[in-house]
Amino acid sequence: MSADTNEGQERKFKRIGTRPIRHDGLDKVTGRARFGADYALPGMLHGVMVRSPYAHARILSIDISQAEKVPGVRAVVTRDDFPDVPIGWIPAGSTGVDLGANARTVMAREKVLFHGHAFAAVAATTELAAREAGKLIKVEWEVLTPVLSLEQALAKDAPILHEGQETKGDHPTPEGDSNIANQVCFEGGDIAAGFEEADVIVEGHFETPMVHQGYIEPHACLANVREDGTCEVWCPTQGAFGVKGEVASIAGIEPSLVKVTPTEIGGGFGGKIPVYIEPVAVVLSRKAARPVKITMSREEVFRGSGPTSGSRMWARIGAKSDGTFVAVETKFDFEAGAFRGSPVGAACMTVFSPYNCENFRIFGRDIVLNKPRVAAYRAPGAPIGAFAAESLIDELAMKLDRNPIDLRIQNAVAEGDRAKYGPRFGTIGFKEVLEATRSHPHYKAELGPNQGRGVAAGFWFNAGMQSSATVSVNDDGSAVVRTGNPDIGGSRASMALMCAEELGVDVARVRPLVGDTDSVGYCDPTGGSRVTYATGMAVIEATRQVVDHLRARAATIWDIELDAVEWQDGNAVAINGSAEKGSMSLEDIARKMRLTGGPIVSSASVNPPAAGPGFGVHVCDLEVDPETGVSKVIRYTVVQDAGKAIHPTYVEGQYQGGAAQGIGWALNEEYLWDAEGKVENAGFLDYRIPVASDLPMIDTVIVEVANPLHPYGVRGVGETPIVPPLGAVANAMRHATGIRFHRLPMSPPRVLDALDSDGASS
Amino acid sequence: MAKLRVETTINGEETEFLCSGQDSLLDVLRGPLAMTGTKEGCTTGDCGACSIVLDGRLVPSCLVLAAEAEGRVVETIEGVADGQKLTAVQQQFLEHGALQCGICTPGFIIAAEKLLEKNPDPTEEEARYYLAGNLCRCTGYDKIIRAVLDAAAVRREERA
Amino acid sequence: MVTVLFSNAQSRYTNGDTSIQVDAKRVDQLVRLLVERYAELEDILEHAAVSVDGVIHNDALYVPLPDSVEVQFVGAVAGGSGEAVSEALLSTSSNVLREAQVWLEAGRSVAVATVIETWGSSPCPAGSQLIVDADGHFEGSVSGGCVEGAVIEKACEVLAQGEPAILEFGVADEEAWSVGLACGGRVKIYVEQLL
Repeated sequence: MSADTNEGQERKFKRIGTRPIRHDGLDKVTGRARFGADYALPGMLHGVMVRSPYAHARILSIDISQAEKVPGVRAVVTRDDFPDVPIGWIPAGSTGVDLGANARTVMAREKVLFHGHAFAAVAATTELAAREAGKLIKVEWEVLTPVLSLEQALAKDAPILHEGQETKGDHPTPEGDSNIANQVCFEGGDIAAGFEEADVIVEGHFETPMVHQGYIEPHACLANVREDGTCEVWCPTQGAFGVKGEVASIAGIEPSLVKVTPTEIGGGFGGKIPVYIEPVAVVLSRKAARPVKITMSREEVFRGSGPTSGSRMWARIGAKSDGTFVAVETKFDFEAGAFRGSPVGAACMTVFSPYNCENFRIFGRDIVLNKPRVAAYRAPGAPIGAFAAESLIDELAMKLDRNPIDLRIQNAVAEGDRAKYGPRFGTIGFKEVLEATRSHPHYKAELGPNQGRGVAAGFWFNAGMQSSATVSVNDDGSAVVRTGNPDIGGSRASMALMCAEELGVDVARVRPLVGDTDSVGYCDPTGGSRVTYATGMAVIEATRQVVDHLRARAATIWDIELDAVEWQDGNAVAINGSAEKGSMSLEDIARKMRLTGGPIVSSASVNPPAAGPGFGVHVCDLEVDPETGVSKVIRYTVVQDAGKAIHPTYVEGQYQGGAAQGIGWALNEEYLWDAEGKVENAGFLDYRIPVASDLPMIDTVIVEVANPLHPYGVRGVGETPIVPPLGAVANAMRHATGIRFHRLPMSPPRVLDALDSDGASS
Repeated sequence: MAKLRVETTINGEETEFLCSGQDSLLDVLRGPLAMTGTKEGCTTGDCGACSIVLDGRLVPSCLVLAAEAEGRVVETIEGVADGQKLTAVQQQFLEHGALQCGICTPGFIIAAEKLLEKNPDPTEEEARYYLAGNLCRCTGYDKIIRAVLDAAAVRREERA
Repeated sequence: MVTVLFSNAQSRYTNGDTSIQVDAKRVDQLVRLLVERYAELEDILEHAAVSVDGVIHNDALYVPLPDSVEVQFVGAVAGGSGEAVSEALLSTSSNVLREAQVWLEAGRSVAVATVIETWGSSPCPAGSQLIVDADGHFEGSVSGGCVEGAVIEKACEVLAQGEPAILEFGVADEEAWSVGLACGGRVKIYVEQLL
């Protein structure tokens, strides 16, 4: 559909921008809402995954005979029960997938590649029996030397995870088998000349740890394979259609035989796009001829799902003494985990792209090692790169004695400027966001002893991709809007708002539904900050078609031409020569649907281009206790361009939630490993995410620079908020303690060490 | 091994169930009793999603053995609303948008009700520390705390 | 006319050209013209997203190109994709017969094994196919791997003798004890030479 370029900025909205109570809210505050683990079927068996005790080993043989004899056990499965899907990237348009890697992540085949890698599963009448049976599975292992760090992966005689894996991507690539899966490089201008020209150069090495999305709901699923081979799956997922495809390829079932129902989902942040247990539940159900439910424990989530990469980075910026950036360069190494696919590419695309600079070389490598295979985590890769870039810009500001916001405004990209990955930016709001930050009261608040203020910026591209929506009118004039995007942050309320806006009715008269893969048209997953933009676009288009039908029905009733009927605020209004007919409400038209042509139902589907970047700037005030090393965030503000905030409460919620995750990443979160590659802190006690007493109120400012690609001006907002915090908190730490931290997290013991060593250990 | 028979009171109703010695109260609530409003986030008492009230005390039900419920009074999220009437805490959660995915919400509501029962006029800091045992990954806690403080005000007014 | 900009990495395949003008009205036409000019670009262009004056399209093949726009081939902007999996599945399953055509044209003799019936659980549904040449090279799949070996053996026999054969594997079948259909189902497979 074509979007009205200026509509977003000029239109007066009646419902968009209000804050109605979300339609699913009642069920969520009373415990009625059903999440993945809340489903059950009669005769259901409990499925349990059996996981590797080694970080790197070849599976020589698996003997399940003893396990099968445990009373209550109805099925035991291993690699032999799954089709052998070849490893290899299969492009699909401009994206693609490695079905073989996905299959092996779910169920190990030739090798186990991380501690906790599943190699078998058991379904039994009780969970206890299943676990006991799991312990009786006998495996002949050929234990291999694990590769547990980037240094080890890159060492000269490093054990190779995947024989035959050659480095892809930009030259020069190393010869032969390598743990370097991919190299990516964006270059422009002449960086040698650029750094020659620079009056000031700041550079640094930075390190970030592997961290987890930390969703409170563990993965869970219920699968039922019927006598005719058709199968139903219920699971919390960010994309039911994706689960359908993955189950089909990994379990070896025709996709048309699979129906996936997305349940309510307790957090995803990218980590619930891949599948980990669903295909196994299906195979167990098929073998046992009974429904099978699998739930991951919290420990399994940490060991066996998809965290994001740890990294080692080096970067430098060259600038003139007046503050103009003249050269930027990076070398990034990102952990992919067991199979290729870290977000190093997106990190390279985002890292210095908010700033104009003609001479650049942004280089990154995707490196496999014996850790869990990484999955997307909210703006994947971007927060990591921004930590390095924004820390260096802060150093530069100090060296040049410039206000850090002013320095950024001076170099900030605007419409028509080029991103480092090639295209020119369209309408963006980076400068507007910076200006709004500068004039915010937080920026002028007084700081006390041991307190410091840090500023950082960032952005995310925001995807388009495919979405479908169906709107139908009930005979009482209420409406239902159906889409296929699971609601992880309040999006269904936004769908109802957009539908209500077009219809001209109260949002309580519109019921939003999230459908399963049989009852809605195809929708790409909830992710990429795309739902309010792309699915919203489909909703608006479908509703506009409904409005055209309503006008036509009124025209029939009045016996006038269609173009003599306008739609105004929930009513058909006769105009021009027919004006004396007056107006007719949606309810009146709905009541007569049967007489004027039957039910009114319209669908629309879209595949729009990428929404266009949303920029954010964060300000963090940190107080550091020099005796304990404990930091407290005492003030935090998020300023971000949303294009158009459909439901401001949930836009604010995204800003605050992303900031909180970033603060945790900066101050406390990290995977801790033992010498054999086992995660030592696989639980919420020792993997310390922020709690209510760690944080202050998080102030938010919604800037609206309308996105011309969307009818209402919407930009995605979900991912940008996690990009600036690592830099903002690290910069605040620098100003509070005088020490520049190059390694995250800046946890109390590390802060104390650094204070004691005058920064030598940071 | 034979199952144990437990007689208890849940949300004001006399209830009995069978369980094994190692079942947690969370297991039994969510399993045989089909009361899935109480959520499992970790089973180690770290996340608060399984919060219930046992004999008037806020506890993580994953760390209570089902057998321990014998003869005691259990209150869960399903019993918080007064029939069709939401409590001030529930209503304020809705008005403030203090939930995004909603998985932590039952635990927070149980904990917040207990907080306000003990301390009808908490400061922001007191509310934050009391609720520090309930993890949320979506909201950053801002709207949750605002909802709780506003609920406190509404309750004080109702009682005034 | 549109302006096409190549990145430094892409310019390795364009004799160093970083910016050219092309007369094309749609992306598919542009790609054809570019590949004619720079053959090595084909793989890159086929699997890139396309930026048209800064607006990035993931699925760009039929996107129109208004006059004077600036076009670049970039990485996709995606948020996880379900259809990539479906498309990949379709491309792998339909490849088997296309692959057989390639083998035949290369002068190799080819047998095809097709699952014609299944009972109970079976990893590959009816219609699944496996192709084998006289040297035992194979593509595709008719089982979860458990009976593949026996099928390939049979296919080589069929190529040698010329007579088609039907194989049945299941728990009741004596021969299957040695092969062992792990999934507990039964499957009937028809093996014939492709002529």
